[in-house]
Amino acid sequence: MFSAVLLSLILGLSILSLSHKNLFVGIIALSAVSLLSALLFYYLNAPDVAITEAAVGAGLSTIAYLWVFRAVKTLEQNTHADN
Amino acid sequence: MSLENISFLIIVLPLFGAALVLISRVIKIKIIRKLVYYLAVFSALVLPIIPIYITALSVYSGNTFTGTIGGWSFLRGITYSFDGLAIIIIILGYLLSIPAWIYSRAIKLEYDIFDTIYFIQLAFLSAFAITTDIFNLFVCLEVLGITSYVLVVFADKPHAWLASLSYLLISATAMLLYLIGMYFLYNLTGTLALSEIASRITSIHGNYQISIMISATAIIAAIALRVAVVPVYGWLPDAHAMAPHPVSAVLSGILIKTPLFILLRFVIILPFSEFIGNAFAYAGAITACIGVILALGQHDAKRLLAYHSVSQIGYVVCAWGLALSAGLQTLSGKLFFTASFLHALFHGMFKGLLFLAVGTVLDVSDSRDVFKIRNSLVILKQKGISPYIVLLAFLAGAFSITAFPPWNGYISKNLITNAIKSGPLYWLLFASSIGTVASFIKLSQIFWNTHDNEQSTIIDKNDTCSKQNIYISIALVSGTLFCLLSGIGGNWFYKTVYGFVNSLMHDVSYLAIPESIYSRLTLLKTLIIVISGCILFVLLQCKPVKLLLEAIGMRKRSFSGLFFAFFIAFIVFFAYLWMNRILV
Amino acid sequence: MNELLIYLIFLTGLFAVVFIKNIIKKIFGLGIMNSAVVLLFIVRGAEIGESAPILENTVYNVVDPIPQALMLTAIVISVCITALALGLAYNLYLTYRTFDIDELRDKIES
Repeated sequence: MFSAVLLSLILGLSILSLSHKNLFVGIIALSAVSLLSALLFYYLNAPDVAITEAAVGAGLSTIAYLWVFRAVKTLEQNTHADN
Repeated sequence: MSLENISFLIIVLPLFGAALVLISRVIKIKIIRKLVYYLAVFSALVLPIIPIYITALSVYSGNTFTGTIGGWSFLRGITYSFDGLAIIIIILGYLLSIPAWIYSRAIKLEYDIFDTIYFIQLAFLSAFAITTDIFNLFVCLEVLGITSYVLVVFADKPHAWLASLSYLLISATAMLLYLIGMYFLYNLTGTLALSEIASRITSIHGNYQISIMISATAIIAAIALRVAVVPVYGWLPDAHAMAPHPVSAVLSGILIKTPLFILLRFVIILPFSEFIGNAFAYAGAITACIGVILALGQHDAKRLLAYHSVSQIGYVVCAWGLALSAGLQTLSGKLFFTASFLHALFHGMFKGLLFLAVGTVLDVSDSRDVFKIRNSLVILKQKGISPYIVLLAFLAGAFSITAFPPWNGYISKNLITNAIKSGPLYWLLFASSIGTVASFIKLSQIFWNTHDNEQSTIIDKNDTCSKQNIYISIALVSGTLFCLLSGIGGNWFYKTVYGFVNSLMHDVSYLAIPESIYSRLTLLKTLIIVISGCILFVLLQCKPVKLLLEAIGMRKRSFSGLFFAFFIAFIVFFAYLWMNRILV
Repeated sequence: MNELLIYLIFLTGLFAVVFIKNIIKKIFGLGIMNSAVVLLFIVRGAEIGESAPILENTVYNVVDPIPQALMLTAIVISVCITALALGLAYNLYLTYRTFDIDELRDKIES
């Protein structure tokens, strides 16, 4: 039951991350998807996968996304300043 | 050191080389840095030849060895097998990688990073060849994929970025489907080692067979995408045309064929492998035709070559499928498989050579359009590159691909077509050969001289150019020699490959090349193909035909189209397997 | 029930990769699909036992450890692919100021 609830939450968050206009919200929702799956892995007796998913899936890839997001934002601001 | 440890050096040495290249980057003293760098190159490209030779000798005498890494049981450990299949693929990889690497010194790249990725790819090519468990196949495929996305990007132009990104997206999705296929298989059999799956899969009956079919379809479709069979070839022309020339040579020569031959390890364990073989045979023949038709409508010279890669891989896939449908234990199955591998090997040689030769021309002229590049010999001379070596290399490649004796393509293509003998497959391949001749007459126009606009003869020779010229010449001459020698010594190649294929079936016997290859009938067939090719070329000069072909060849491609083709292939293949189950 | 939800998550990701034009969202889709596959393996592997596969004398009735070992590799590979794809997307954005894949193709080919 607990896993079904978590899975529905993951489904909802992934739809949110894809449908929301703001990329930043999408990135955070994706990170939440990873964290929730990590929680589920822990619950399902897979602590090693949980640690990896939290560190790599939620941590590292979110950093990569945010880096691109910030770089794009600065680019946009620069072009606006030029105009 | 035991023989097994020596064999593992084939994989370890290139990885060691890749690490050394990275280490050499941080060394401050110039001489030591150069020394470490050369040591790295030596250990990645030259040293592995010794363990390959030793292992090959052992395998050739019927002594294949299999085992698990770390001494675990077959159920849990990582299993490997140095057998005939693994050895021929490793030899294919090294034979083509070395000239391509030499050529890569002639173009502007970040050499250290390029070499690191290149060596990692080489190491994983060997690892991919020996692994016999289904998860490590996935890992090796992913690593080969990631390295090739990166190598394509070394061209450093927006078109290459987009090509690489599309390739990445579709191939990563396909690999996830592969994982799902693996999940079903693991669910049913409880193991990942192919040999164990083979023994358990026979006891599965009833509705569970559907699960096996789904998982087989997912795994085969994911690998077929890498091989670029119809209808999932859409990513190839972009990626191969936009990559740097040596990378194009490696991608076309090695990386689209290895997944096909390794797929054999998976397919032969399935209870319905002969149906899969049949499907692949027809898909291959259709691929051969479609590839040529699309190539005829191209303007971009490298894209034209990329479509020819699609077409030639069709020959390989066709013979591979027929080998599977005949069964590898039968004589005709072995003959088909040998022919298929020989064509893969020879295609790797001549297509690599063509990519390098045409790429050299494209680099010096400011256009990529077959109809605009003219007087290449003059331009090449101005840029300080020996024009006749490039011309010779191009001609060697063109004669090989159009199956002209005594070049190597003649041997392998005729081995395939002579073994098929008749039927729709034969005529599809026949038509494709005619198209190939016409297409290469068209491509050879880039060397024609037009006298109306004489180029200004400013000679800007300098030191870097002559060095560049040496690398290009070495790569092109060695490729030309390969094509010629393997054409003349076809018998030796045939015997060796047949010996390795035979050792897969734990049998040690050798067979000379069939004499029908040099018979009058085969030569007559070649003559007919060449003449019809010339006629076709003349016909193609008519306005309506040309426009039609260009409309087909240059049609707008969309990204989602790649996916739709993939899903259609998936569904059709599954339906095909399912129908066969009902009929049997 | 659980498996159905996981397949739905997978299809959501697949839909994004195929139909959404924005490259970044496509990469989101890849990540979501990968999560779904990892979930599939772990949920199935957990059905046969009730404690974590850490071998000590007092621990028995463990879940299947092989899917877990496989999925560690799959997660790491997925991050590599995400990072590479983001790098490519950023380079494309730098030149053409758009993430729309059709627009990019038009701009590049013209």
